[in-house]
Amino acid sequence: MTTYDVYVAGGAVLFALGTYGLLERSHLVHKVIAANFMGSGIFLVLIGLANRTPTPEPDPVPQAMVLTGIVVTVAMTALGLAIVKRYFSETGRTTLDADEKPGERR
Amino acid sequence: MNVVHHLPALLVITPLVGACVAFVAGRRVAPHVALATATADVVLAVLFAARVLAEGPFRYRIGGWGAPMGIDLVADGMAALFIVLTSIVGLVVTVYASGYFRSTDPTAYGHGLFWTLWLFMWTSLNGLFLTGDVFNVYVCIELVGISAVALVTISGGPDALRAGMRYLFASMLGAMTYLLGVALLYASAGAVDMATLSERLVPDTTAATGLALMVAALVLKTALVPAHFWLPTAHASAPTPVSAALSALVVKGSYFVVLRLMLDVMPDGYLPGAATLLGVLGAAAIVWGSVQALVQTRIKLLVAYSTVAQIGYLFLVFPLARNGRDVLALALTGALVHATAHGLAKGGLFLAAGGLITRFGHDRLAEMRGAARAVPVLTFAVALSGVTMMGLPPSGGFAAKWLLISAALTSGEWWWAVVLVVGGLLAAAYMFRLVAILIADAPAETAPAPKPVRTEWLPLALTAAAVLLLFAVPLISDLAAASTTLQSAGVTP
Repeated sequence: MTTYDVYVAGGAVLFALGTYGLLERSHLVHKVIAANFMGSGIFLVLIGLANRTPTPEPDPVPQAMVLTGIVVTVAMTALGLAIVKRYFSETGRTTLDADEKPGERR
Repeated sequence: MNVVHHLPALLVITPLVGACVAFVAGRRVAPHVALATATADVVLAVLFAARVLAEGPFRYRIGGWGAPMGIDLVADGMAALFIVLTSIVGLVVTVYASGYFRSTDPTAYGHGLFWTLWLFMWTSLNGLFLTGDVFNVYVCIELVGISAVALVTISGGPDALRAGMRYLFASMLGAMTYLLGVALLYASAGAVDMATLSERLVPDTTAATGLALMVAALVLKTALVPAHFWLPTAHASAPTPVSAALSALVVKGSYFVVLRLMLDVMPDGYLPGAATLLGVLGAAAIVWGSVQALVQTRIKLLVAYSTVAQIGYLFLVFPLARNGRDVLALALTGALVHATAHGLAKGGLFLAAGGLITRFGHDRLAEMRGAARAVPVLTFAVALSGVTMMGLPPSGGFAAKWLLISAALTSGEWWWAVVLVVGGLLAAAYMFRLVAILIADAPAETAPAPKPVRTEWLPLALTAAAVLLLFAVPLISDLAAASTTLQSAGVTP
């Protein structure tokens, strides 16, 4: 196992965990965090890729992608949390299930 | 500075500057800023299309850096067509919105932010249509998604928030899956520039998995059956101008990238079965979306499910495209005409539906019987959009179906022609049902018109444009010939 493999394997695990969380958890904040897991997984894969060059210097392109990706993910997380907050103050709910009683907290 | 030379950059910068100015300008001035921006964008889009038609495809290196470190914009006929479509629908939506938001409560939750978000979405769409690398696609598609989700939730009501959340999660899942695909593709080919990728792509598992993930993510973003679950509620619960922009333009954005990946980046025979699978899902979307549209009891949901069905046609191009360059040219032109006709007709239909909802004060179809007496112009707009969605001559929808059916018959894969004909009949069924309700001989109980509504003519303008599009087919055909896809396939204009 090289360092690269460790990063890629770790990234894949994070991505899978995040996908599971985004699809299966019903709490809206959990879903937003799960999407961030997916993002972090991909960033790990990209950082691993950057180290795969034959020269000691890492490849700058994947690192630039990670920086851009972080900015985009922060924006999306902020929007998601803002909507969750507004949704909670409007309905008192923390999930999308229509049958859950208003005001019930989980 | 020669303006014509910098057109690709100006198409992104203009709405971006407009969005920022609209943000600081305040509630009263913002609509005027948006209107000026939209008008400028129409002029730039037409100049851009004219230049592409005259010179053929060209690349624009932002800041002169060039790939791989810089960002290259690719200007070709396909990009020009979608940018012109966006500018025309965008201008009409902007004019409509200035009336729409004036008549609603000015202190409502997020209505003041509409102009900024709408121009940001326009910026990202233009960027998406011009981008030449798969990572930039990720950034643009995320920006489209973020502004679209914010626009859906702008009214701040529980239904809109719920629809917006569902849309946001679908959007996040799609974007993350797409980015993982880009990472895998970069691991294999060492490039993100589409033109470089198409040269370097070798059939290995890493690259194939990456491309499969990217296409799957874009299918989710385009809401192709079975990944359409988020679309009807998101498009139906948004404010009317937003619904029109989402259905007419935003789904076309991710579809555009599927076209680029499947036809430009991947060589023939890459990802075997993917093209057929997309065609089969497209056929399923036509049937399922139409059947759902038939049983809806609320007007905006009917229109949204019609979008699910119409998206299906766009994906029939992929199985047909494998049958040699003549069929490819026919099928691609057909798909582009269909995307344009649907963009115009569906934009108009959503605006007309919004007008009906304003007039009745609700969206229940059963209680809209006899609306034609009170709102003849809106009813006519609905009927005209039906003409092009069914594919009746003379209309843009007819030309699109004609081209796709010709492609299917020339290729010998006649079953796609059957799908197209059945789809037309199903569209006729749900559009006739809608029109029959509106023109029924019954006294309609409409709310009294508060004041003369000038915006009634806007949906009619869009749907009439969709019908008249028939006469612009030669132009679209020239634009298709000036696309990188057909140029590299060796089709001469």
